[in-house]
Amino acid sequence: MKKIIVFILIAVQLLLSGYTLPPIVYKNYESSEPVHDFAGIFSDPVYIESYLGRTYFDDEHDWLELSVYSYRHDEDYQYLIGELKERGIEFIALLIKVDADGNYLDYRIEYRSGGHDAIPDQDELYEYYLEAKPFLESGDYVKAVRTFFSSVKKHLSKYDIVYKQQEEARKEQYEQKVKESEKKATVITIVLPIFFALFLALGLAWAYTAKLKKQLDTVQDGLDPDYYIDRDKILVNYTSTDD
Amino acid sequence: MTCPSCASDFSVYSFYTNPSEWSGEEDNDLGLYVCDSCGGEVTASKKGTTATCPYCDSKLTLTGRLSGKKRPDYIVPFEIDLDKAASLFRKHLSDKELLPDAFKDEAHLLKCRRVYLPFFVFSTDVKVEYELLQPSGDSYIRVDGKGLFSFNHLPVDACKSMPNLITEAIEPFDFSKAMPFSPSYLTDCNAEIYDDSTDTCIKIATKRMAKGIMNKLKEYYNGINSPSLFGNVTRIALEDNDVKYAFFPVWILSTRWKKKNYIFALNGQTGKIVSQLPCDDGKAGMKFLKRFLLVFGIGLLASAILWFILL
Repeated sequence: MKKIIVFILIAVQLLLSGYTLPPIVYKNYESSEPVHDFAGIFSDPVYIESYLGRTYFDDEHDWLELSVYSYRHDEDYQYLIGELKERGIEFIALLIKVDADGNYLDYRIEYRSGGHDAIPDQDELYEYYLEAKPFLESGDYVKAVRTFFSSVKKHLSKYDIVYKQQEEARKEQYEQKVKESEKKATVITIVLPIFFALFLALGLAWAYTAKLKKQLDTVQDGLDPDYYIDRDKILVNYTSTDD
Repeated sequence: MTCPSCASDFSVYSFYTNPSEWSGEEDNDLGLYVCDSCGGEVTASKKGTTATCPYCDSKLTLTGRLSGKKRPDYIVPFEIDLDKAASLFRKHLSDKELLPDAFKDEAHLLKCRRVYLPFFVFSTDVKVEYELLQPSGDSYIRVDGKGLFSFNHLPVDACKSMPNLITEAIEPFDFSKAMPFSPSYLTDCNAEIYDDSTDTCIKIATKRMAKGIMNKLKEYYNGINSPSLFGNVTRIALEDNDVKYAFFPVWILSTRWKKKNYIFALNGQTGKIVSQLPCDDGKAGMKFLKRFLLVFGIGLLASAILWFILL
């Protein structure tokens, strides 16, 4: 009887284990590289205008800084800053030296990034500067900045396509994993309990039949011969020795 | 031919040797008797104490065979009649679900026979020396000792045709109700004359006593030490051995199934029944299948409910 109870307990535990195994589904998946139209930021004239409106003029060096900083805590730039941070860019700045009349004299490009592939290198930035140079020389700084960052935008757009493709591949991979994990989860939560129900049924049926078979043989319940010993006349003396 | 004791079937030709002369063994085993009712000649085995006349169907009690050493000292009379015995057999069989139907046949149950079986009954003092080993850590503590035990009315089956396993299983018989033997007790009964030698019975009795003493010793020492005690009786001596020859009442029902004999034995005094019964494989298979389907069905239902609740 004890064996049967233990057997049932194990089987029930195994049966329940089908429901208590950790889920394999990747429910906490998060996209590692969200896709945004990063370059679109630079094509928005509003940003550019406000960007120019907040230019920093260095009196000492006569540098007009047309820059975008990711570490600025400026409400107007929060979205832009966030996007730059996502790209690992700390800042990209186009600095222009002007004379007292505001005429263009020189330029400098400064940027700092976390080594992201999407960031243009020095040569590429120079190339973009050259595209903007005619507008700088003509004093049309707004157009110059637009041209410069438009080039940066184009540069980044190429990478956005790559990012999108990578993201698509990641999503596909993720969906495949989800499908596989759901399949496994189905096996665990459906097949396993069925298997253990089968195991339990086989075990109990076997135990039941064995019990019925045992009933057929009653000879083993023979009388123990100590029944005939006179309990009042037992004399036992013993000596013990350690072996 | 059918054996009156165990219901075994034999071909007459299996006994065929040489019709022209009797072998000495055959001559010793058979006796010629005259029926008191019709005077017909009845040939009967010398092992039994009863015979049926083939001419008038009268039952003969062959009391002459119970003379001298063959005459029992005591007889324990039947306290259970045929109806009660049949009822007990019926009750015994009622919960045996895998028993073939042939065993439950009502007409067959009424064919159970009243038989007095020969027993030697031992009342004796027994001196023993024993050696017991009690596990203690990695070693054993040996306990040597001597003891004196007194056995009262330990019976030993003296009939070869009944397995000792069965006769021991239907014990105990209450010997306090034993009566001095009288042939009148054998009316309408079969009785077997002992055919086991006294020496054989003493050996069996000694073996049983040793087993009983070991159980008592374990019980005795377990009160003091641990229950994992084992050992054996190294020397056993019977003193003041009083052996009585007695007839004990047993109802026997023999059934032949699939060329094998199965014996039910019922203690004619207490009603205790023992049996070694066959299993009907067809029934066992059906029982297994039914139980399997039932439990599997419940398991699936439980799974479905759990799926519904948990998932």
